[in-house]
Amino acid sequence: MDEMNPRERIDAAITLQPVDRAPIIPLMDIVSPRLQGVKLAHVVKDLDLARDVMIKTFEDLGGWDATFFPGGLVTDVGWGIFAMASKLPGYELDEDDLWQLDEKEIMKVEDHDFIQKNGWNAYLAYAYPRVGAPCPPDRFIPRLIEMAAQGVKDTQVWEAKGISVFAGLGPQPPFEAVSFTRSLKETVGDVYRRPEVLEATLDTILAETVPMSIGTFQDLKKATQWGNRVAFLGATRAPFLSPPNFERFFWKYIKSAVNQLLEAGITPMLHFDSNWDRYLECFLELPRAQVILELDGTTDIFKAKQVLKGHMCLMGDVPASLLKLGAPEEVTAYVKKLIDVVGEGSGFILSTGCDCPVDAKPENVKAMIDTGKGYYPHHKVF
Amino acid sequence: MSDALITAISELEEAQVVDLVQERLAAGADPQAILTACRDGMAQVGKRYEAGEYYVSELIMAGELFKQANALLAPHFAVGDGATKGKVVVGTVKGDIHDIGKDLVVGMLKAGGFEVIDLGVDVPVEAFVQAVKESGAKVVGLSGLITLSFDSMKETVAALEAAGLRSQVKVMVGGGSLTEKVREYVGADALGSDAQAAVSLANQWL
Repeated sequence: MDEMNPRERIDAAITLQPVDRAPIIPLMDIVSPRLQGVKLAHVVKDLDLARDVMIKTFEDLGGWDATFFPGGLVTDVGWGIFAMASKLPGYELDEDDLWQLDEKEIMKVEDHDFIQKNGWNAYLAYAYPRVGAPCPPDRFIPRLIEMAAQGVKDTQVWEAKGISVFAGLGPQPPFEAVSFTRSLKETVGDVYRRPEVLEATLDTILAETVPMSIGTFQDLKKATQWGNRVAFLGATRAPFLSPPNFERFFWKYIKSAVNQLLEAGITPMLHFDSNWDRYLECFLELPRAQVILELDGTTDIFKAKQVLKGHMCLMGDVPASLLKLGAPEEVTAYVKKLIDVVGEGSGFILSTGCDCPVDAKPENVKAMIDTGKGYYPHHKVF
Repeated sequence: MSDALITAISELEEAQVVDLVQERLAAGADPQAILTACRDGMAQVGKRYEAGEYYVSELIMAGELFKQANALLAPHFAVGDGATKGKVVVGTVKGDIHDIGKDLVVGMLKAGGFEVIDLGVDVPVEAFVQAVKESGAKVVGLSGLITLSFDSMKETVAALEAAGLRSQVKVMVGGGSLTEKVREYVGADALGSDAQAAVSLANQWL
């Protein structure tokens, strides 16, 4: 097969068409500063620097198929993105400490009513002073607008180098959003104590965030050469729900968001961390060859391939623990196994399991990339 | 009489649990017997989880019910009442502030009849050593989600060794990204894949 260019390769993998090799798109926003000798606090405060260390790392390692994100996600207004409090290097943490989400009950039970009456974005602004984030409350909205402009700028900088941006942030799945802002414990309490109220809040969030996200993608597309290839929908807590609750409070919203995004011409990428083994068959309900499921090394990706082969593109999942503790030959062996098994018949994008850890061994990161570029034993379709 | 309370906990019927505990206390029932029924209910929840019927959310909710029952029962116990199966020191290690898994383990261990010394999150190495020294606990549970926690866990185990305590305690580790390879790196005795596994390990060791 002729060599494909990166964008062709990615398109083919998503649509389950033959590829010359598996596309490689690792998530490198946290490890790049460390690899470039830059403290994490500096990239949190300087988003141009956050992007530039990612570009330098991309170039140092000989490149791959697309940058996962255009720049850094971690800022002093992370609340506006994740709806959760966080602790940041250079603020609450030492300068080179890893940022972390800080599980707190910011949203109180009475805020269900506020959200249903005023909307989700109004809630994020209303509750922001409770978060205790470093950006002052009167700068919250202006800072979010600056962040959006930064995303456009970062995308243009990558594109000027001929490198496309893979993912932009899509709508946060409503159950995840509530569990982030209300705490998992209280959200589970809502599932049992006030299910109708929770459901009404989730309805409100979905109705507001999906059209907003579609608008953002369309605006970016106009302002850049290629825009974002996929919309990132992150989830990690929903598989804690047992089947009837999973369907009612999570899955029906995912199906709706996926369908709305697809209708708008946007490819959804389900970045689903934690263990989804018991829910793999649900993904068969999504349209074929149009959605990506990205796993983090906790779900059995080999089992996922068995269940979803010929149905959807899988992405992942070199585990964080392997990148930190393994030897390069172990990383190579794991990547080859991924390509052999999950890559069989196309429909696979090689990536890190969630984020490449900040303390990954540089030689392991290189082994992952180099093996992905040099190894592809399949040249057939299903 | 205990069956209704056991069932109410096992079925996650919050209002019934509270009503039944209050009714029994008002009727002069032995608080220890009520606590035993609550623990039996939690044991049933654990079995349903192991059987795949219940998921993590049911463990979280059951933990909340047990906490509420305990709060109602607490004033009826004098300090030192109620023998436990043993003491367990638990915490999320230095540099990591994730508490969902740790709190689940704490709740399930308490429901399983263990006295838990919960050190919270971002726990310095010395705090674990101090807690083991002061409590005489024979089991230590180290929790962490991010890869940086692996080094803190390793340092904590080394500090227990340096303090001459390692041979007296069993150390279990748990958290989202942990694997058997991580357990080996840390030098722990066992890896717990979930909160129920932590209870099983503590039962084996104490």
